[in-house]
Amino acid sequence: MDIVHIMEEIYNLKFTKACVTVKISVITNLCLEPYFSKLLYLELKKIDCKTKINYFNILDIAYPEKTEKLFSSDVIVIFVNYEQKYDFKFHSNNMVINEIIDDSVNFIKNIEKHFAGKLIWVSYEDFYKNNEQVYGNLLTNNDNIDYINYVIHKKIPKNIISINLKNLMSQIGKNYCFDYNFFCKWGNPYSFRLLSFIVNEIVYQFRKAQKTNIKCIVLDCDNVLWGGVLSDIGCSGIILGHTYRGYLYQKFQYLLLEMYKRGIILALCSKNNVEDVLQVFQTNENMILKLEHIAEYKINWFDKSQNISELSKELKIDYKNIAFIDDSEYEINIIRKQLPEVTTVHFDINTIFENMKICHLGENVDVEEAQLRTQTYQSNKYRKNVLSESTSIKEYLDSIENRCTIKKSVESELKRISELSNRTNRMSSHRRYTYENLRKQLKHNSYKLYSVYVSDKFGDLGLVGCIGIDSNKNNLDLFCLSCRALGRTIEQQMIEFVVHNYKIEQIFFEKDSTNFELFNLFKNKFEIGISVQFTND
Amino acid sequence: MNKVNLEDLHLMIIQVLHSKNMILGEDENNNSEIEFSDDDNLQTIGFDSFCFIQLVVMLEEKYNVEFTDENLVLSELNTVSKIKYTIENIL
Repeated sequence: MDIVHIMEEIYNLKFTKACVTVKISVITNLCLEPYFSKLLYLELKKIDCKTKINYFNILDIAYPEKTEKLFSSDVIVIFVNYEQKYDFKFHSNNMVINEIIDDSVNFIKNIEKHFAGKLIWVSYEDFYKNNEQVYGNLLTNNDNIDYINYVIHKKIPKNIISINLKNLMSQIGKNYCFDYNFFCKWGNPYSFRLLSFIVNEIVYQFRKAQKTNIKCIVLDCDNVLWGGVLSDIGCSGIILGHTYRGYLYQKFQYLLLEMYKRGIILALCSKNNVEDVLQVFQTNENMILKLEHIAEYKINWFDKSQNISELSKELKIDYKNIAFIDDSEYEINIIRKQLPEVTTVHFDINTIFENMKICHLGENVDVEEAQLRTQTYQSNKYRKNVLSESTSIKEYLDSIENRCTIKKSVESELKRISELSNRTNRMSSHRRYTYENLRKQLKHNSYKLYSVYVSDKFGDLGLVGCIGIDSNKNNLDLFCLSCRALGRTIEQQMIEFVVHNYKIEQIFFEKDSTNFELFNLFKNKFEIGISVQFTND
Repeated sequence: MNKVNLEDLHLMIIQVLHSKNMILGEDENNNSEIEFSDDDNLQTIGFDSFCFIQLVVMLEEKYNVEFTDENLVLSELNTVSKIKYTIENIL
């Protein structure tokens, strides 16, 4: 599409009444008109967002009167051209590189500190000048920019999204990324094509930040994990590895394994004979996924919506946090109709890697905890057996040797606590903390943070809950418990702990349809309205 | 080669103004109602430097021409008639 058509399209756009207005501020040292705003505007229109875009020169950020509109921005994009900002200097010694890193990190951190919008940083590239290298030969310093990007990314707060510009450029090819005519006239070196790639990535990141986290992927087996129908061709006949198609299925399994390692729960839901599928998992050497990676499976000939519904109950994961992948449009349509909250992904070996983007996780995940989570789901089968033999909850908890430990949190647990505060809904007061904000909070001596550990004879559930109390204000600021630990009276024990040790006068609580159970528990335990007030400031 | 048509130029100018107002969110009225003659100064109907860049890029693409630095003088492109004259000269 060219700019004349883009302008015509914008001119003829009609918005629905339900459209949402998104305010985007772009901090830059480039003239991003005429393409960038228009592309962004059209791309966000596709998801029924009406965009208001403001540009700020990097030099204006120091003047409060020029940055007023930044305060009300929903999204702030920092898109700074490295070579223009650092004046085409040849940065060869470490001191200069470190100065650039510090300057950039301070700049980004300052923006993050003063403005509330979701921050997106487009990283640096140094392809334009291109004088540090000779084609096909490596001279000096041409990995400086990678080092600078890497260190900046590590130093800035984790809630800031970094877009890897060099990676985007590599997808187009360096030769198609620049427009020298445009650079000479308006001072923006980037081509229409690259700008549209950057815009797509910004919109994708924006959508991802808006979307509910996918916690569990439910997978069909035939023509998803391997090629062919297992019940027709048998365990040895399936297409996996060896051939081109076989390698693609294997590659998909590698992607799923990577997701598993980053905290996604994997489950199977397939119309098959359970023995056949288990045989593939146990005996086929080309399988990348093993049974230990699968938290739960429903392999039978029943309706898949019923199976997913059961999986949701057993894994205690809401529909909105589940993604279902199937190669059959028929099955996908049934799930869409019957369980509309479940995200559905139609499996096509050619497009699946692009479509799986929707399930990608952020970086701030405690990998060990994530793996522990799957183990808990697996050992839940044994717990269920004990439960069915027990006559009361107390007898059940005694027989599985349920143990709950509440202790003061230490630095190394903060990442997990931040994750818990963001992921839990049902047994949570909905106070959300980033790792950095939690650290800031702990600098106040009056803030007391506790970690809750649960274990039983079948396994260790790990750190599943946390309590945060501001002892100066007697404010119960943070309370959350993972769904995995429900049904063990842990929440009651946590409340008892708080009541026993503190005289609570305030409770932070954001009530909605998901956490009413906890609200009722609090209401029963604390003298709400008399000496304890709910706040959600 | 596209012939330079005054009506097309009017429409392009309206589109540029419309997109500017939509994107800044300052005025969401229907810009097609803006009326201006061929000799009206575009700055009086809200044209700024961004609009100017936008229009030049559109003109370059639509008429497959390239504006040189000498052509890029705001005072020489600030009315519809002058724009038509400049493009016809380049063509």
